[in-house]
Amino acid sequence: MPNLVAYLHVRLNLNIAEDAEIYQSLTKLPEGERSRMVRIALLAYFKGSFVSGERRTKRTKTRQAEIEPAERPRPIPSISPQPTPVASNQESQTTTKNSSEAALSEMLDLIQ
Amino acid sequence: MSHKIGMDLGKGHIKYQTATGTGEIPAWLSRGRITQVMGKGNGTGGIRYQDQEYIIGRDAILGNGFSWSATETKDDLRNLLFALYVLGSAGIDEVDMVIGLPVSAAGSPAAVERIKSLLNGTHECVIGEKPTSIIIRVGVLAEPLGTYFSLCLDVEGKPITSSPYFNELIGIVDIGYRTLDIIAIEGGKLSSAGKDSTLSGIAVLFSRVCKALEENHGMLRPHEIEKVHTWLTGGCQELIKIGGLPVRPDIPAEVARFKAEFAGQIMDEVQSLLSGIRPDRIVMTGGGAALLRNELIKINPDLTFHPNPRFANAIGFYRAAVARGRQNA
Repeated sequence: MPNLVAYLHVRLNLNIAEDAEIYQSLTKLPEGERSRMVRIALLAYFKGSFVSGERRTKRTKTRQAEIEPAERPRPIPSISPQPTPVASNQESQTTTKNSSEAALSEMLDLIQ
Repeated sequence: MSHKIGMDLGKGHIKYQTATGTGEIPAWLSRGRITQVMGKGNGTGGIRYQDQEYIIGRDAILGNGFSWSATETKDDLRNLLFALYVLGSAGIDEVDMVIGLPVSAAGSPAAVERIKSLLNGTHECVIGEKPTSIIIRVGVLAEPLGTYFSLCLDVEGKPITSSPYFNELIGIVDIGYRTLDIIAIEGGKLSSAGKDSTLSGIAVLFSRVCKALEENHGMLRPHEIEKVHTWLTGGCQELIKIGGLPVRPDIPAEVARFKAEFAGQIMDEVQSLLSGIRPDRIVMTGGGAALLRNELIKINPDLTFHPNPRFANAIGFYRAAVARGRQNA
């Protein structure tokens, strides 16, 4: 278990003392299942799914919801770009150009 | 005129795109100098920087102090050496460069500032035998954004408004060598949720396979590890030899099992991190996506794979550099 302890400390900055119960229950699982559950449970923990007193009661339900979403993922279309839509008039062309330039400007702002 | 380059400073390979095309070198480094005894060499070689000789790329196994690891923040000298070597070899003396950091590091202003101060400026070096002065101006992006730009910008850096990726809410999963990076983005806006890095890069798979081989062959040397990596990425077509001995015939089946298990681990993480976002599509990219494509599709047939996953980030970084150049012109 030293690797798990290191993982919890370094990767998730998790306070082992506070979460000794979670840690102890994880150590009882078979190795493959344990590492899988550690990832799922701790990722959810890290993302803030478990909060203070609600953590223990909601843990199982939250984890299950993350493993099995209520709906199937929506179908994903092909990677090929769709044909360029034909603008009906000059105004729509201008609007499209302006909005795309604005979006581009926002995208480039992401460069630090 | 200033050149543009997109450079993906990966842990396994340095990949880049310029106006003339893409290229890559192994991210290996050692100290020393290569002596070409016969033939013309293989295009990798040396760089002299601050009175120190370094060997870059495949030839680095012939030098002293071989190393191939880098920090997640990529702000160590080796990445400057790789960048200078790539630029000098391409005859570029002034460049606007865009690079990437893992999502977690890109969110840290201090980490961004460190790598910018490493790379920005005028650098004097000798590539091969040629003294060179190279001016670098660098911009930094979260790595999966490179993939996004590769899909939403054309080669001239103009937005492809007809691209389905332009307006949809998409999750981008970049399976790199050391890290797995995830972002969600819609209409040029980066979501603050569903954005994270984990340590599930393909190095996990590589090290597991190497460990299995070391049971029979002892500790693998760097060039043997590279041999194993090449064998894995090539689909384990023929059995390789380690130290002159063939690997166990059941190793390919073991590798197939490792790959299936690792793909399951990755999809667990992706599902967990993107469950609050529910993107219209999930785009898989990075060298790990290419390596695990079949296994990932078995788990989720609706995944979309980037057409050039290994170079997706470098291509996008380049297009972003071109777009920014147009904007500032």
